[in-house]
Amino acid sequence: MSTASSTPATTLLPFTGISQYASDFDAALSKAVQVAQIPVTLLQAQDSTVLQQETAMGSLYTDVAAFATSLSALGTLAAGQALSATSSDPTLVTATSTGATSGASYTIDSITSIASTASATSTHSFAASGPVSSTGEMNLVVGSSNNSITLTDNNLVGLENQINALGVGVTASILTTSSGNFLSLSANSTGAAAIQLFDDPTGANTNILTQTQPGSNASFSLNGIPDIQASNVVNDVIPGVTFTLLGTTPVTAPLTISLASDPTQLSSALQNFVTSYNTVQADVTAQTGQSGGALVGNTVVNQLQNALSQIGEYTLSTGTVQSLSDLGITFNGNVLSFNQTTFNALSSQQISDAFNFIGSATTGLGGLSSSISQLSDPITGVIATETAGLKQTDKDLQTQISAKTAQIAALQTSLTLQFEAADALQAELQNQQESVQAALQGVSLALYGKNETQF
Amino acid sequence: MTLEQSGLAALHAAGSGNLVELRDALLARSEAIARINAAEPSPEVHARLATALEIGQAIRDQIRSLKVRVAADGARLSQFRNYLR
Repeated sequence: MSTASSTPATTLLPFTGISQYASDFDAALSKAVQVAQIPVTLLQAQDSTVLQQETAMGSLYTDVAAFATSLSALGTLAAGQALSATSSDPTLVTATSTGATSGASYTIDSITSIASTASATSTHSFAASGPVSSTGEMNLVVGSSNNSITLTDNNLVGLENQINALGVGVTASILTTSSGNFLSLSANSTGAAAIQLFDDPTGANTNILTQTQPGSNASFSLNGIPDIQASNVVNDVIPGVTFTLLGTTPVTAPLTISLASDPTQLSSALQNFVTSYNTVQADVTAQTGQSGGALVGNTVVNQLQNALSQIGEYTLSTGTVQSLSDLGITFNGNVLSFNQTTFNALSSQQISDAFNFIGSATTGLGGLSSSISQLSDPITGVIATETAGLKQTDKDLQTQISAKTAQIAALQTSLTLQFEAADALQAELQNQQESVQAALQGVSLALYGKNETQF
Repeated sequence: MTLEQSGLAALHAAGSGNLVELRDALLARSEAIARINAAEPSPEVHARLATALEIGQAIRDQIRSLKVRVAADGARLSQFRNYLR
């Protein structure tokens, strides 16, 4: 006799991905959930610290690099004795020092001409698309340079394009006038260099240009020595000085270019040095002590502290300037201040001794810039190395966090599957219970003639 | 397995949270129910079915408890994942 049938067991869900919890699901899974959270929060806390250090290191790098530059520039200025070039008549000649190393004076007279650019225009107009050459062969002469042209397109635009493509120091353009289209050529730089354009160079050889401006060289005398230059900007005659000719002068009106130490340049460089020193000092202070930032205890901060002390305490045993205080730079706590009044009162001898005290970019006070550069060098510097290490640590931590997060996601997926499986088993059990109850009712009825079961 | 054996095995598996064992035990129990349904009615069959019904209730309680724990763990993980974002 059969009173009821149960749901076939083959409808149960397969337990994909949960076998790892099969032995002791409850204990293992609950523990896994708890444990999974701990390392991720720890890793995130570590990474947060690393990122703070990286940010602080980046800020420090900028300030330290600026300080190294200011100290090196101060040394370079001192090595060149802060020389400045001045002209007795800036309306006719201007001058700048570009690295002069000693004071001097130069006389310029007889500026009989200043340099100008040459230009030329075609002797006649051309039809917009008509031929410009009788043979298609032309020769462009710029000064003593001959440049053959075989026209690809024998018209004005074709000629313009080919001349400009030559790159021989002249620019071609087309003038569109009421009289027609003319070719115009202009030299790209000053100097006496005639511009000619010959048609049919192996035959008629006709120059189709007429000179608009001949172009000229600059002509002058320096300390009585005649000189001719193609440009008005002269930078290869007086070492470390560039002067520019602006107008002509008679021989009886000499001009003077003077190279002399300019204390204002030194003053400005010292002020920059003080400002950048104080910026770095403030950075160091912010990363020191119990209330310090993310770099407290970092070797870079310690090295910076030592370098700043070395610079602030630098002394020389000779001359009238032996310490920073002799230049008007004094300490207020660990902050430097520059007294302009004290500096302005320095004598010529003291200014000269100041250059000796500062030295150069590689010696004296300026030479100490190397100890700062060792920290701030973008490739080999300690800060760059530390930053690279922090970046790598951040990367590693991020990788670990990603892996842990993925593990948690997998765990959650597993939980979902577990829940679904438990759900399915519960439904199966319910079916079985209904089946058993039906069977029990059937048996009760058969044996006792009544249904005595309650479920 | 008999109806009693498979029922007790399912109860043990549900109590320990072992869903694989629970699935196997319920499969065996399903087969045992089918077998007893084919048997002639008797006081013994009546008693076995009544016992099976009680064991089934106990299994159901264990599965419910298990689902509550799984749901709680899932919620905890969801909360943690949101915190990580």
